[in-house]
Amino acid sequence: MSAQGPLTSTALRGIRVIDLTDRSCVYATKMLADLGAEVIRVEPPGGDPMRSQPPLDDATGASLFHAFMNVNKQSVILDLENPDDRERLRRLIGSAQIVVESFRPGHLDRLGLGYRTFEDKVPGLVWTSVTAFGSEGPYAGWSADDLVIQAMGGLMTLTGLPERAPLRLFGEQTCYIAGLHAASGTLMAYWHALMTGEGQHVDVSIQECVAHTLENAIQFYTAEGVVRGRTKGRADPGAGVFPCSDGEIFLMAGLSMISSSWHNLVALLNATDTSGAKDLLDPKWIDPAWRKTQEARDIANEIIARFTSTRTKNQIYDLTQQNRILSAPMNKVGDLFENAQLKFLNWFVDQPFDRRTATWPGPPIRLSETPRLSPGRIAKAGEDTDAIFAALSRSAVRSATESVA
Amino acid sequence: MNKAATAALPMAGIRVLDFSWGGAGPFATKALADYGAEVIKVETSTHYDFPRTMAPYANKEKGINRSAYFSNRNSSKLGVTLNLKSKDAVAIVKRLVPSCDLVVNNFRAGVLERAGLGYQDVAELRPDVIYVSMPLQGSGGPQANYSGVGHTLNVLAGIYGMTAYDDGSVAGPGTNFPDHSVNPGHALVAIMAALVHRKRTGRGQYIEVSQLESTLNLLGPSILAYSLNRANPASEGNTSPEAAPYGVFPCADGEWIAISVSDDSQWQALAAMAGGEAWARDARFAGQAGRQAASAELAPLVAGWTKTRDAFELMRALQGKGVPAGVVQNAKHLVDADPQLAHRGHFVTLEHSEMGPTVYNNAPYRLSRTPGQPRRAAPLLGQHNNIVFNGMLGISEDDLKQMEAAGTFK
Repeated sequence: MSAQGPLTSTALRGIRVIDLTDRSCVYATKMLADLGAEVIRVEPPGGDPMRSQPPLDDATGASLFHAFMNVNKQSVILDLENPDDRERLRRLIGSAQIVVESFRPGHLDRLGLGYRTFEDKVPGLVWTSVTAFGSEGPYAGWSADDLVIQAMGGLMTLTGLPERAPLRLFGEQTCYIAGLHAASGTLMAYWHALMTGEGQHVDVSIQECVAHTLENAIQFYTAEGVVRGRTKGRADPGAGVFPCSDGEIFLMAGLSMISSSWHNLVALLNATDTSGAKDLLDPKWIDPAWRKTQEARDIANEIIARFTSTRTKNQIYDLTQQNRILSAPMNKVGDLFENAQLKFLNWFVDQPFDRRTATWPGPPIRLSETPRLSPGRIAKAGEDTDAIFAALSRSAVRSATESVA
Repeated sequence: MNKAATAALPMAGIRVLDFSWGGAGPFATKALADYGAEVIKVETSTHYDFPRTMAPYANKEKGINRSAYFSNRNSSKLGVTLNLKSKDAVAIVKRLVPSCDLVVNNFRAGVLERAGLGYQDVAELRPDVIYVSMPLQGSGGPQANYSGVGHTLNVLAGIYGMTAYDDGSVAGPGTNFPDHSVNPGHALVAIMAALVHRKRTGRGQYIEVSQLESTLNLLGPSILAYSLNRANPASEGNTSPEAAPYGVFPCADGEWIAISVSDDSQWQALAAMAGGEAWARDARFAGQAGRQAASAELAPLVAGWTKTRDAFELMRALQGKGVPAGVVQNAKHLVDADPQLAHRGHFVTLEHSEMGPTVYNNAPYRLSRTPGQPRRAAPLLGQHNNIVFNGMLGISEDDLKQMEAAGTFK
């Protein structure tokens, strides 16, 4: 491989990012930090409210949401109500290549800290605003959290049981959805700055990020006039959740999607001498009219359950996958630690945490030349304030001296 | 505040050889294409990208060039057909590779290697190439060859089992959730970071986005919590330990509204609107701690108040007073009646030669100087064979005809 420049250990090393995001999208700056950017998180006096966001460590009360999202970042405390601290933030932004913020539209402008303050002063600056509905427009001033934005973006109407209320996806998912789109748009703008020297504003709407995450629901409406809602499981025999000796297995072995899965399942049921499996060889089982009946579903599902319930979910997972049947064990978080594939890949990362060991997820992406940073320091609120501003003062003195010379 | 767009699209000049199929991969390369990259999508006419045979179809008429699922994920791309079992086809790919900044695929581990198009092969022809693989579960290990789709990833990663009502009834996501923003998003961030690295060092690299590893990061805080507390998260459903009232509440005409009250000023605004209700004046609910403690009691009281009201009027009234509230919108609401998405131009209609006017999702970020958007309808199967093979590579029409007859483009 040709080497035309110095080796760097991380992809975004040396790029300074000022992080003014909240829980709505903080995954954006986590991605940048893990890829090696120097992310400086600005916290208010008393510390970031995210530091008390569940889930918490039972022993210390520390927020594990905060820990996950802010590992490998630096922290400064600035009181944006205080003019001196506003000036310090201006200096800090003057030293940066990227700002990512999630204040309500107009808030930073009112403090004299909006993009317009910097766009002509900081060459090539990329300024990303992530807001619930976008920087402009009729809903621009509206408030939303994960729940409200899952509703307004169209995700909730697709989630849940049809006879019950629409359901929120678990785990603050809009933070990840918005964070990834925001990081993508930010890096495209940074790429443009790298190529041309031009900075710009990146305006991200979390509602729009969610509306981009609806599978085919938009197109079902615009192409066929069909409004998708919550649907009842998988109606086709062979598809659905089946009992195992220690939990459940999810099978996608209907005829409607990948038809070989059904035929392979019938063969496996027969090969394992499952009672009743011979009946499934009858040609009526490839007749869509028969398969649509409740009777067909009941018969097939009972036979399949006879097979699945005698073994563990991981045994059924292995058996079905080895026989080319789409399947997955119904996991809870704790089950992941026993996953054979993740163990083989040595994926989880153990790190000290308050005199114990915490297990972190491994990387979401693997870059061969520039691997992401392992989870490292979780800065205390304001831990880096003095060092960062002292370095800024030194470089200001240096550049003043150089310009005199 | 934003200066008018002044520049070419940011990804202009980047060429992508795109072998990615299905849901997740094509959404990552769509973003690059909409923002200016030249994305050459490679299919074969016997094994074309399978969403071509997935509903919805334009006017409900089936056809390999009529799927709106496919078209939305492949805007602004060029489409070619190459049968990689043919030596001539592999030779054509190898002629294209030196001009390609990126090669993307989500085949099972080993498929492109067997065709002589693995990372090492490609890097010999283009040393600084960025080569992206998106296998389901990594390239080695006991389950590396297991099959799956977004729905099985939901289940395997635990998002399905955790998406449950607060009484424990599991529902799971209603979609192949990781295919739509998360796995394409992780891939796109990796690609952009690798481009930055290449610009600064001249070096390309190999990127692997294991879709399981990517999806599992969505549970990062819960994984940490399990490792320290040894407990799975409780089924929260539409409840929160930080807000009450909180949840979705029924409205008139079968609509639902999401409301989230997390501080006293929001509560006072809501209570003032519901002033005729006894619960709105109940002193036990005046403070956040009291509301949180009585959240199960409060929810049906609020539901009794919302159920006769128009969802959109109630949303506007609550938002007007600073209370986070939003209608549970469906596709019809979003496309026909959401003034905010319309203001942002989220839905882009492009003319398609077989489908007619077709709606595409725009990227949810607006770059003030370089705003990309779907620029061209999705390619018909093999639509750009001539442009790419003759126009870009200069293969003569006679040679192309011979190759065609030999099955190179099947």
